[in-house]
Amino acid sequence: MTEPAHQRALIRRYRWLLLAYPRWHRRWHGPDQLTLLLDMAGGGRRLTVRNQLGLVLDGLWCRVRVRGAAIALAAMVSLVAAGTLAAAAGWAAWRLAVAPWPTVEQAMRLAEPVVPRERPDDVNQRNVAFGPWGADADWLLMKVLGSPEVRPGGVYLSYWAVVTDPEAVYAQATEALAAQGWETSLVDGAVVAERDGLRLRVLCAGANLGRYDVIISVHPTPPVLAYRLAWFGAAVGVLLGWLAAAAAIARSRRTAPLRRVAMGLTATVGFIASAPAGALNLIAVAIADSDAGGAPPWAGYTIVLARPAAVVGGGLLVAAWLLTASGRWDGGGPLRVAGAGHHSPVD
Amino acid sequence: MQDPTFLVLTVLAGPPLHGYAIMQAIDELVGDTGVVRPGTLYAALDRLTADGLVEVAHADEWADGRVRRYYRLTPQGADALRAEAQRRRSLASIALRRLSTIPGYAPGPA
Repeated sequence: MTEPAHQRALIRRYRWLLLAYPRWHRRWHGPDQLTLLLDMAGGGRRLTVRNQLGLVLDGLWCRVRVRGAAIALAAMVSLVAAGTLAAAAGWAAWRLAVAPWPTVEQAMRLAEPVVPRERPDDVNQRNVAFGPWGADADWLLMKVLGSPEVRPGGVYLSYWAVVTDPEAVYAQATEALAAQGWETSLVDGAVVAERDGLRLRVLCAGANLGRYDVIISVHPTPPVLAYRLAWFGAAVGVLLGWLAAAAAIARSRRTAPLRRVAMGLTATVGFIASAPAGALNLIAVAIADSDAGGAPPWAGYTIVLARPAAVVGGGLLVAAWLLTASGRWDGGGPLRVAGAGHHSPVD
Repeated sequence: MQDPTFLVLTVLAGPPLHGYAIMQAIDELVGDTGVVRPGTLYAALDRLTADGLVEVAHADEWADGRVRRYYRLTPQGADALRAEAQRRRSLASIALRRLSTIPGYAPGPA
């Protein structure tokens, strides 16, 4: 191999290795670092396999390294990204895996073995996994703002003031449902039965002078896949959020102080606005995964005001990112040539 | 201040040096090779230039886009190096003084 060809091969290999570093680092230091590696090779200190591995690990570490108070900012962005991606992954998996919504007739047929009398006193139906139960007139407003009162959707059959001994009702319901092939359990003081992707819940509620109403709800069983993928989404979110924040923070160090302050303030306000929905999503994933009456992974976006706040907060976080994206590394930054000018060596 | 940062500032207390020359100077100073890896060196240079302790004095550029930058201390960098050197010297004298108070202790070969 001729010397220039050998040199070109070495440059190609080192450029590949330097891809382990983040883009901002390659932009600021890549050409100089490449020259150093070639100088080392020329000086008889060509990189061994171990050195090359070390270089790649240094590059990967450079992608996640954050110093000082900026660690808090990176952690905040990670939290929001985790909550957002958990919700997105959980929502997509839910749509794929969930059973169809039951009709009122189907719900009444399924509940037949446990109903106290033939006709319920009240029937409610809402085909949303977790959402508002307000009047239809408020529906559009609740779509935008979220709702102060959310609960799992489905068909709710209410039988008023018919029970004096809830324990006897639960025992009878458990036996009757098991005989019909339902898998039954007692969760949070209610009988929960599952079969064919549907969940039936029998609850004695609203004690009034020792008498209880019986409420039977039927809705699709929250798919386990949705929570599993939500966990995966949260893990990916933590990683991506941290990487994005680390890159933005590194770039911001080369921007003007005023812009840096603006970036920090915008990101902090964006976090404060986005955090409630993101945190509630993560809580839903952590708790509801094992809770029969649990909320879906995107539950945070259904709570009143959390949804519009998350949209505004997300926009501010993107704006903070863009504030650093146009930062220049040369001709004004700390890496500008401070001396008389550039030299032009003979290569 | 961590050791690699201190060493980089120390060897830059003189004429401007490029990346490989900094590594060589550190090796010479410490009497060992590979004390500072390329990744460690550029992490330190990135931090030091961002903090205004080091600046690029001049640069060589090649047609293929490669660059060789020569770094030097700024006045703030010189102050920071002086403060750190004094701190280390003070710690070293305390260590030697305390060693001399150990009964029966005789220093071995250095």
